[in-house]
Amino acid sequence: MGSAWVVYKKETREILRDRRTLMAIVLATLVAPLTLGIISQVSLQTATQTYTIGYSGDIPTGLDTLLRSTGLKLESVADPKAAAEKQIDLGIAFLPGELDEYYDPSRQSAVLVDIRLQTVLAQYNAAKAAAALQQRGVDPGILTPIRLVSRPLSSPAEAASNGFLSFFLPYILITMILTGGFSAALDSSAGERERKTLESLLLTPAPRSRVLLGKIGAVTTVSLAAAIAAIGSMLFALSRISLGGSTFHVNLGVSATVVMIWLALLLAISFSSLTLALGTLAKSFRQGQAYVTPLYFITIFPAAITLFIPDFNPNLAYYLIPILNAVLVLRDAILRTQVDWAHLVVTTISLGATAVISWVAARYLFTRESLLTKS
Amino acid sequence: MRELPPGAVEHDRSRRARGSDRSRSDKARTRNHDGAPHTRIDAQTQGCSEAKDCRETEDHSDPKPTQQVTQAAVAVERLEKTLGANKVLRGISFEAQPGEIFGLLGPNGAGKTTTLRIICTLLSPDAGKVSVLGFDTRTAPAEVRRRIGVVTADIGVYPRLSARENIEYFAKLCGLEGGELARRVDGVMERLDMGSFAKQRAESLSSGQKQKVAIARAIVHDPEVLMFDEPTSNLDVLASKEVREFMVEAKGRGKCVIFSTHVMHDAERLCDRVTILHEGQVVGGGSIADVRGGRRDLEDAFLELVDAR
Repeated sequence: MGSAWVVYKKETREILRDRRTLMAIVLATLVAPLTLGIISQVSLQTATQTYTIGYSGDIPTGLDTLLRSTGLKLESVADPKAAAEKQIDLGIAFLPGELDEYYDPSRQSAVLVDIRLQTVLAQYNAAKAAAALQQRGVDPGILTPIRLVSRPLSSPAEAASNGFLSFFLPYILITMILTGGFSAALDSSAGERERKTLESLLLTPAPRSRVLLGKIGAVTTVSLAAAIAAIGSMLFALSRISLGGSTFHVNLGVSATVVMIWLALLLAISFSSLTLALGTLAKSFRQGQAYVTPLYFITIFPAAITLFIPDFNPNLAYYLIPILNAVLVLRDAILRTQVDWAHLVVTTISLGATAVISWVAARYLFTRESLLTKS
Repeated sequence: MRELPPGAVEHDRSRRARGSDRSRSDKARTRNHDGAPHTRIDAQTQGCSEAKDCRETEDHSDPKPTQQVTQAAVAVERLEKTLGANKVLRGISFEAQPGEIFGLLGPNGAGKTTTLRIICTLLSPDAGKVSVLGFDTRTAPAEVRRRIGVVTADIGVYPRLSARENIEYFAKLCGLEGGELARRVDGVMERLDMGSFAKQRAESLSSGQKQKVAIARAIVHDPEVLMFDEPTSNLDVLASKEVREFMVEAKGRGKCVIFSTHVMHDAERLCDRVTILHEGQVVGGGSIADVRGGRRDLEDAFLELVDAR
């Protein structure tokens, strides 16, 4: 293992002196806090934003006060429909016993005003109905024969935080492991050819498989470092910001942390071997980028599946699909704070097999004769 | 370049004569049908079926040099190699001795680089045999690599490592460590006069300085056989002169130096013996005087041999 260790140390040293890789890690560290900061600001602005409702007819007594208290500004207009199409967010026409609403669902502001209006109207109608019943000596409770009493097992902030983490953490982890090692892998493979150092390296007595092992080790280390930096900064940022007015409750839990580290390691080894294998096919760094970029798109869809289908709960066979299985296991570990061992074992076998296949492919490509003759 | 008297390159007659004498004294050398010398080697026919497997061999079993009548530093016997659809080598044979500069001459595409790559185990032959100091390149590739140093025209260095770090890296991969590592690295850097840029990153070095790094990393493990493949083609006059001086110095230290070039003037000045390749075949060989014969210079002889084909 001596020569593998020598190669590992040299590659790591070179990577740490490479501006491209350092920039990738720094960006990975900054991207989560910046994105979350912007999301926080936007959500805060949205929550406190005042919108305009154009109305015609007579406003029922008290309703105007309720509407203004929820950030809805009232403006008298001649034609609410025409106004809703142009300058205002939503138009309403008060008619006897009816309220006509005009809004464009394709405008986000109109949708938000619609939600607020419906909430206010529901409260107003309930209050009016209760007052009318009381006037007639009837208990207003008759309107709600079954009263729902919520007793959540976790605080709303905790639930929201876990939900957010279960969506974004697997996605960030996988994309950062992949992209964090891109530059290092290409530099270590295609870069050797481009710099014309490959021949000299292969002339040493060190077996090629050990040279490759050292390279994979270095790229894996960088990938993990990028992922840890990204996740660490994301968790830190989450603990400092609020989304939609509620503060985040960041508590990853021991089992989720252990699962995350284990999966990250398996993914990093697989990605490192794969990107190095593809890099050895390339004659230059740029050509290597062309080979490796499709890998990003192949990876990104399974990584993002919980963003699109949050409640995706497939059978055990789905856990054989690499990347998707890591996302699902990690999501469950965060949301349920416990690990399904069957899922974890199948996922480990699947990712382990991916790592072995990637290693064999990389070893084959790195030891073939045409590695030099085609350069 | 230190330890080299002025004019050593141009008039290193005594050393050249020594080398020639030594080569002439190898009585066991025979000639093949191409007229080039080769050595009869008792075949150890444990060839590997796949080249890559052979390259991975670690030689843990302490392989012994192949038994042979005389121990040529490098013996190439009826070598054949096809790359893609191109038959690059068509049964070439030669041998190079310790203490001589052996020229591998030929026009571009003659098969010089492929031959060197087979000698240094980067490629495996389709047919024929190569041994380096008695070690077969197919059965003991790691042992061969321990005993050779190669300098090519592509002076690729790791740009983000310093000159010293570049050399140390290769020294470690050759198995050097601890005090021995530092001593050897210090030794080659002093020998090549690299002190002024030892800590400088390779990306900021001149071509000549990079070539020194390339030479240093090739010789840091003190190999018995040095191979130079068009080493001066990317260098200016001064840097080229230093490389030539180094080859002569290495020869003086008893090393076998194989010099691949298509520059006949360089070959004539430096080589003790040459083999001329053309289209993958040996078209001539022997001492410079033998090859030149009555012609004006080696270039004329070379052109005549090549044109005859």
